[in-house]
Amino acid sequence: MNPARKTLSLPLCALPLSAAATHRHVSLYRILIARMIARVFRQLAILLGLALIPAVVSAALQLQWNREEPLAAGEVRVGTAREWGDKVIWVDARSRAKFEKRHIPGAVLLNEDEWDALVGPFLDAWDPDKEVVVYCDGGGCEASTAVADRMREELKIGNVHVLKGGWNAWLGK
Amino acid sequence: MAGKVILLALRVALAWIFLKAGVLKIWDFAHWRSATPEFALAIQNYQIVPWPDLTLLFAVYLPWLEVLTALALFTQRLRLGGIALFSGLTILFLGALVSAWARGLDIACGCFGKDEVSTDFPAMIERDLCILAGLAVLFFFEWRRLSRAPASSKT
Repeated sequence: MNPARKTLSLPLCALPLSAAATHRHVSLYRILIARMIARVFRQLAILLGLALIPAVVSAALQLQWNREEPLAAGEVRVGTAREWGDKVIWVDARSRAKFEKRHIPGAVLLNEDEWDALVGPFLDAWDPDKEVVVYCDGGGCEASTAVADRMREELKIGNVHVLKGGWNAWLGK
Repeated sequence: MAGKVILLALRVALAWIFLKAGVLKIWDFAHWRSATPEFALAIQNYQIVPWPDLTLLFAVYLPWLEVLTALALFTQRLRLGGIALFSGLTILFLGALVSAWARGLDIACGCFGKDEVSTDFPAMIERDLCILAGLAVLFFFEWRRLSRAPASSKT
């Protein structure tokens, strides 16, 4: 081994070692492990720090987009729907489990999974003079859009709206 | 030589998993919009993080961490840290899955964006355990490579 090339490589050795040699090997292993652990933490810190940069930029851009995002056709913001007060029938397009856990007060459950069973009770509660606002979880949830489309096509209800932001928007998130 | 090829293939496979997972949580290509709200909802469904602001923080930060960790596997200077971080994140996700399964939650994993709706917990846990096994192999060989490197090498 080249004495000018200082390494910490410790080849496996089948020969019995003296106590001093064993002690030296153990010390070298401890130094090796300590250096490796320091290396891991150093690299971890670099990765955690580097990931912050695109995350912060992404968050800033999304905040900007959310402020500027226009309504799509058939959508209504939660503020507008609240202003309609009693002239709204809320329709919950989420699963029964989520509906039973918590829902907008007075909302009627009508989801695609139980459409046949739930459409009857919905029609009993429906009033043609009221606006129908359908909601689901929010974000990219498409259940409310699907239910709203079915109402327009199958039930021929025209004044159907989809709540922009869904349940999360109602909760103010 | 064959060993190097196998290790490279393992790195590529593991990096691909995390890269795909991270990218699909950042952007919804089907609707061409940010996928952060869906990922935030997926985190919320696990009912582990009690504060909505912290959920949003994780939803914004974790995907980029996954992407960078995947890329780190291909750099010599950050590979060991990448493997350690990859392992830590996998253990975190595994813990969340086990917790959700134990509490009987019927939720989407959220591991690969909003299109993954499977709630087959045993399969997902098995998948994560396989990933951890692959990472253990990579870690062993990387440790060995670095322990033989000159002591003056940086990072």
